[in-house]
Amino acid sequence: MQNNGVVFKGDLEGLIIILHDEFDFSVIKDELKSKFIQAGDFFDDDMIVRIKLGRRHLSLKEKKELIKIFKNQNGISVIEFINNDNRFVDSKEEGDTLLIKRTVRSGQTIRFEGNIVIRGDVNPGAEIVAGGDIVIMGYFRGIGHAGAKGDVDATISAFRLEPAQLRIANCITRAPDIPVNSPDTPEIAFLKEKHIIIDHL
Amino acid sequence: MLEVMKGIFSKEDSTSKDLAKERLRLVLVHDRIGVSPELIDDMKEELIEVISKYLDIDEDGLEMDLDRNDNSVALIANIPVKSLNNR
Amino acid sequence: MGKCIVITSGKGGVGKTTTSANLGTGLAKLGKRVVLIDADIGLRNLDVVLGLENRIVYDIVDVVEGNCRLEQALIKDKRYSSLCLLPAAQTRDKTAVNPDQMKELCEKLKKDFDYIVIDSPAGIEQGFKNAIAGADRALVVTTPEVSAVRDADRIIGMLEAEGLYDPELIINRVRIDMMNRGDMMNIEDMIEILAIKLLGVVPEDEKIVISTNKGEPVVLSDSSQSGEAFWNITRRLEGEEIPLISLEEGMLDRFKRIVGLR
Repeated sequence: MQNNGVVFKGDLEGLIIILHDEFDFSVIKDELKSKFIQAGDFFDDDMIVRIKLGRRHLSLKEKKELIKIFKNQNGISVIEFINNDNRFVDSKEEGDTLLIKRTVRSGQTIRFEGNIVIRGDVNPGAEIVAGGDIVIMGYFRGIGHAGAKGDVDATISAFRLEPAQLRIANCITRAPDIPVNSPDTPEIAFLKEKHIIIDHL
Repeated sequence: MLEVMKGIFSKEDSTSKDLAKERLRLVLVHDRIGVSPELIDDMKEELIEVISKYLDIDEDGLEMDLDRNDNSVALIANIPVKSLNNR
Repeated sequence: MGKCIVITSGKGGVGKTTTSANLGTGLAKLGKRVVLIDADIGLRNLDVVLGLENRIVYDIVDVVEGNCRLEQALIKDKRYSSLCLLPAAQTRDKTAVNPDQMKELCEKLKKDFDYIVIDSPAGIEQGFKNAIAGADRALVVTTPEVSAVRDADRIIGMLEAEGLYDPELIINRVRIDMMNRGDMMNIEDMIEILAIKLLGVVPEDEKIVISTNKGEPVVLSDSSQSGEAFWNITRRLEGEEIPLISLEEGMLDRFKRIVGLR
């Protein structure tokens, strides 16, 4: 099977699967399935995958079919569908919350339209951008942006909240220059009258 | 302390910095004119072939390398001759 | 119109970022308007060395891609209001910017600043080409090691090929005790081999590690040897004639130790 309508590429953040837009959807689907069979156990736990669609616009039914194919493949989680005009394309289809089971490292960005839950740490230099809430079951030392599309009720909570920078909707706050001893308890950040407040959870 | 004294009172013939400098000099000669050691080897073989036509030379004793004097690079070959060929 | 200086080396780990941070801060201390550009996209560090990492909202890629205005991405230094940092993007790679965009950016910044100091990434690939694209003057950082000097030579050649003639040399992490023992190439050796102008010599100093931990460039402290060396280099950049920190100082130290004055 040599169509090359489906191309796998790696980058800093994980895997990119390009579905070329000049191929028929059914061809893409078949090639994707057979590529996954070839790949076998290649995917380790929770490899982050972004799907590039080019100029293709998927119908709801087509999206569901694609998502089903990805769901059946172990070891990967789809972060977002990207087509040429919009990065936040309908990843909501996957459900409202994205669960990541690993440490997010410097230079990596997790971007999701819904909520993001991370079972692991977020290291300095990593960025978490969610349309909804962010919950970190570990140390949060990176940059977090909750309510990225303007939701002022979004919150960022972490088992240990020591971020470089927090953003909620369009408000920003940064860590103080002299590091304060952060309490050894979980904390939550939320927006109150244009100020980001951090409180015990 | 002993190390320090040694450094001052005995000027060893070749310290490691001299070695570094010499190695660096040679590496840079090659880097700058873009001649690889393989190319030198090829050249060496062909030279041997040509010279052997006229002279009986000691092939194992042949040395050839690039060297730099101030701003010019020279190809220096040292070719020991055993005897004139009887042609 | 400002001047654009690129700080480069070829080899990694010789102290480009430390040098950039200190010279940028030093120039600001002299009252100059300075912008530091971190050209190491994907592996940014200049922000950390300056202690500005938690203030970054926009970066150089955002500027180039038009996601923000140039002024929005410039981060003001904590200590000197005349010093700004244009940070690199961490989530992208070197191909996110091209040399033409870099050149344009530098031209724009030259209007508002006296000095633009660019911290180049290691290597000779696109990141390096981006870093030197807008530069008028180049400083090459090396250490007294065969590998670093070799790479410096390569970089000098590449700078010349790009029209940046007469780069100047900074020799970093020098250990005078080892030089005196003959276990490290000395300054004369390196100048002879590289045949470029020496701008300054910086001694190996554990204070560098401490200053990086704190996010405070060592040039701000009065008591460190490396800080003094960077301060002298800064002033030489500005055209002052300052003799090199002479090796005699080190010799003297050693004598004291031998005679037991220490």
